Amino acid sequence: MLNYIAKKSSLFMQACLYLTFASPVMAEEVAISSSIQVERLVTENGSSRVEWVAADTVVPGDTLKMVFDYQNQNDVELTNFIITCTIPPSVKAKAIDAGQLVSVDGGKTFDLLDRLTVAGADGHARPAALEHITNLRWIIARIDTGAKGSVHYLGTVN
Amino acid sequence: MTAGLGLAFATPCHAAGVSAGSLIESAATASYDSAGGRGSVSSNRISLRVDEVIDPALTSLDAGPVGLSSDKAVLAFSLVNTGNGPEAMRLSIRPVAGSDFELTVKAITIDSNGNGVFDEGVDQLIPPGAATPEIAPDSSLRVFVIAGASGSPADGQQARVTLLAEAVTGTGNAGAAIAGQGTAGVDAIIGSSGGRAQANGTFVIQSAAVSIVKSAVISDPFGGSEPVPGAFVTLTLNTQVTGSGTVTDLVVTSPVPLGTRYVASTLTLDGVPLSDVADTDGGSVNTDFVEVRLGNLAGGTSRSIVYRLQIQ
Repeated sequence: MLNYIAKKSSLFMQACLYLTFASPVMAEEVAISSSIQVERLVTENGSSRVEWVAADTVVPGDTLKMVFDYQNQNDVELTNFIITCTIPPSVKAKAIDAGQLVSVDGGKTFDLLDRLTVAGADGHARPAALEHITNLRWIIARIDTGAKGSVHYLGTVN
Repeated sequence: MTAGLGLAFATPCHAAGVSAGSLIESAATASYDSAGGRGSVSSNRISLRVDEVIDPALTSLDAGPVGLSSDKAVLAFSLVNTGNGPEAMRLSIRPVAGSDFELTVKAITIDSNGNGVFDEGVDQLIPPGAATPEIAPDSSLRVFVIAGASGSPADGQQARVTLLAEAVTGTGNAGAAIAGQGTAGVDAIIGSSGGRAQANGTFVIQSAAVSIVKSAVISDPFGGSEPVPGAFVTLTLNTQVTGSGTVTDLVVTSPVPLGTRYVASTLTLDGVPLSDVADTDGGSVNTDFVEVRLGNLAGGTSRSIVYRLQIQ
């Protein structure tokens, strides 16, 4: 877009000089992938432990870990990396980190959960709870070139 | 940032859980600043399938033992599908050890018209071992068990029976999977119920017995109590009903003995006069007998019938 403006008006050429040689932003600069793990009780030699396993199928009540892995594949650092996801309709948020940004209005606004409210049955505002979360957002200030990272949240299958 | 007031988005599911066959999809988008300006990227969309959980539950709807006072009585149960896919259940009866008498189960039916009452000929019969219609997730069926007593059990004796429900798709250890047998071709996973549920019902005999004690007081024309011609006989029929049941349509009939005649308008019931003609008050007299219709009397009640005769 900046190249187009530069072409359109030579008056902007000087001001935009430092940007004109940048390549257009490509999706391949950053890879982000989603995966889901399911919490399963594994019994071995008479003792049980909880493990996260990859699974194709779940049942109501299962605990899921919704994972988003990302990697800066660019040769420059990325900043202000904002990841946003929608909680699937059949899942309820089970646990979030302190400082997690959430939305309870379908992604229109994001804030800390304890600063958000929802409309109660009587029309009056009441504090939003985990079950009201519709979307989640993470903001990573800086990702160095080549660096990887991961965010996740826990949910329960309704 | 200021706090936001938002609507809570309802999730399309119910207490039994998200429907079998549903997909759970997760994806994310990201935006960022790079040397080229603000960019954005989307992740892949990963899907999980929701399997069907098989989990029936059965509870008795009767607050206590159900009285059995005639040839049959009805136990009521609620059969609930607490799983997340529609499921039909096979029903059968098991006797319970320790019963005072033997029960004969006449039928198992479902409450087809949903009125909470067994309607013979209307409510669908479930032959032993046969299955109910499919029950939607989070829904229930009312089941009736109609039974009677074998032999001649005594008032107050009890007998118990177990109603057993088994999911048609399968039963077994909790967590066992039956591949492809769930709704929409997903797997069916046996829930914590093992795919089966049971509940007990108890019948208690409520019978009643009638005893009539007749007593007579004679008063003769000479101030004594000799049974001589002209003497009046005041007869009292003390009618008692015992037991925990009810006697229905009780009629007490007492003959007017030869050599006596009924003294008109002397018939009373618990002190209240009854007319001699057959009308609505239950008392009627002719030359041969005195009749009083007492209707239904529960155990523990008594009625006193009094009338006078005169020795001819």
